[in-house]
Amino acid sequence: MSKEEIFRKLRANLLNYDQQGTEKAAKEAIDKGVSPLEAVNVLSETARELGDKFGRFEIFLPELMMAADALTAGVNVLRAAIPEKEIPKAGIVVIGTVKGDMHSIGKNIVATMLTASGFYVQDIGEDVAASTFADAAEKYGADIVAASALMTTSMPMQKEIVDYFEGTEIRERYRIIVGGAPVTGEYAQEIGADGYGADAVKAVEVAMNLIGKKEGK
Amino acid sequence: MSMIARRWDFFRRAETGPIIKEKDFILRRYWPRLKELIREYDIRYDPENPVPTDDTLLDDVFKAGTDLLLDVGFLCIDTSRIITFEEHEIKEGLMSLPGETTLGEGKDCVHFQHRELEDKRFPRNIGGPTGTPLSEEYGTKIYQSYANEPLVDVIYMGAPKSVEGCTVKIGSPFEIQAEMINIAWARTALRMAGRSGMPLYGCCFPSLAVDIASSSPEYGYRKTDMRCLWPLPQMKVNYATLTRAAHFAEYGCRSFTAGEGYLGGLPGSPEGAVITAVAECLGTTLLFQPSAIQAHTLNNMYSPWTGEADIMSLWGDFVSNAALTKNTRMILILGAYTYAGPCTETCLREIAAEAIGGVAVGTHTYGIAPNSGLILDHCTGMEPRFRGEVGHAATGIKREDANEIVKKINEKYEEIVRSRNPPRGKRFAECYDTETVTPSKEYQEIYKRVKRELEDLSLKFIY
Repeated sequence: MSKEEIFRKLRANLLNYDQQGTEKAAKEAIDKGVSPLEAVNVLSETARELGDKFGRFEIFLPELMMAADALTAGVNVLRAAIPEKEIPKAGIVVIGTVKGDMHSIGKNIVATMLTASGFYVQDIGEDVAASTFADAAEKYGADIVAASALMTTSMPMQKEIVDYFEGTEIRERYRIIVGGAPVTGEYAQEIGADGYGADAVKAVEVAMNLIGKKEGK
Repeated sequence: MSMIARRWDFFRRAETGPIIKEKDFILRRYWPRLKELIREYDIRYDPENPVPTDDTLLDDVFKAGTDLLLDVGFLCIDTSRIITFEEHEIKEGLMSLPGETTLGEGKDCVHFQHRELEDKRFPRNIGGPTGTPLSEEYGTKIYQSYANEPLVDVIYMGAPKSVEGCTVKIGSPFEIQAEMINIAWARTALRMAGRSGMPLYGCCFPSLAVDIASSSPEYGYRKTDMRCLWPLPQMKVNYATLTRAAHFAEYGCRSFTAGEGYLGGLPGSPEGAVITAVAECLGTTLLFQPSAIQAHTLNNMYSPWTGEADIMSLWGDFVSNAALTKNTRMILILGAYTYAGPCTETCLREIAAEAIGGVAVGTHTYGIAPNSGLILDHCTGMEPRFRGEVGHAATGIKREDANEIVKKINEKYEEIVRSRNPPRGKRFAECYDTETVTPSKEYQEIYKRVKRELEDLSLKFIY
């Protein structure tokens, strides 16, 4: 099987949201001596295409979630074959919905789009206290902490996260981004967050920019 | 027949039902079955007919929603167990619906009845800030602007943003302080309008503890008020909501619930959203035994704000409600989260489209939450006044006629709401005289202009 055929197979399996198929195709890529870095790039490009389709209402959230699972399965296999220092990482993101807020959909969409864009994403769920965001950021060595709030009454919890990071003197180590239906760019600025994404696509752009700045790119 | 006795039986299923991971519930149980049902019943989104006239479609959507509930059930996220329902339980639940309820006290009582398709009886109109954050400066005045409206029958509560300068955070003690003050603002406004028995509709933003603590005839919600019980999207509940439901039933107040299909979210397409909305309405009817219910398909795709007056949401709202109107005795109430803000033509046009179609498919009206209820003080009594007037003017309208009018109104704003930058509108204090609590000349002119547009589309206003 040629390199092109393997890439086609990887792409087709991801487009079918086939977790096992993508994983198997990734293993085949390694067995055939294909560059795992190139194969990861094929998967990332395909994932971006799916993200665009989602934005155009051509595929839907469950499909995007299945694609994220397939992508993660494939990338995990390929990454294991890449020497640690050569593994490209867009960055590590700890993401969650703030304390008192059970909404998960927006946060899940952003997590999926970040994964599709090459970020390592640690989803810490919903109803998450500021201290838990901080603990997770430390535990996973996060570059970015992303906090979602879907209600006007839970929005103040985003400020609480910024305050907590400042109060515990870890603020400078992390970039904090916020989002959710009632959140605006002005509000993000007002509470001292580093970024705001009006939607999932914007959130990825903001995360990319922040990582670039952090690494002085 | 009362289904109240069944409640604990249903709740116990959250302790004994099959265990499943939340992600598997969505991706392996809900989503594949939803896709099958769309195909099986051949449900198709039809932007040319946002107000449905095809009764076969309504029956198919109802059957598909029933099948979805039977085959998928509800997930209790606290136990990761599925609450399943039997077909006979759905039938019993629907049979036990009283089809009518009364809210409020004394001369200010409001009687709600199940409405039929193209019903000639006027709809009731629930109007209020609808969850919009309110400032301490204008809270009472804003409620007064609703209490002064003759066509507003029930006040839908807003949410104070701060109390004595302290931001209200969910779960903090300031939340209960805020809710007490919120209710006091509304009651004061009602007394000033001479309508002290008028019912309140408490929204669901406060935490469970606040909802329970604010059940008090002396200082909080009365038994004759309505409280809300929201499921989690999609087909999910948690302990807090089940506890709320049990508390409201024991306290004896009326409750309101919903079936919501989020376009672009887990149900995906408009077809998936209507089936999901119907399934959730059926499931929440069994779990909560509400006095009233709303089915709606909210759209997250076009704007930073959720809206429901774009053509896709209108189709979803009208089809899901029509399916339930035709096949049940539910008291259905259709709300309006508008993309645009107060004192704009777009906002009033969005309200008109929702009201005309909603009334034609048998719903009562409620709202309005301009800018999706997210901007401080962006709400006034003028929006439900318009909704009430349009609702009365449209009462008895044939669905075919409603469909044509709705499409023509929608044409005027569809591109605007899709622009991701709908007109923000004005704050209460910018479009009302805050001393006399009357709308500004500018807002009155906008109101008259849009009303004339509707008259040109053959809608006959009564007032």
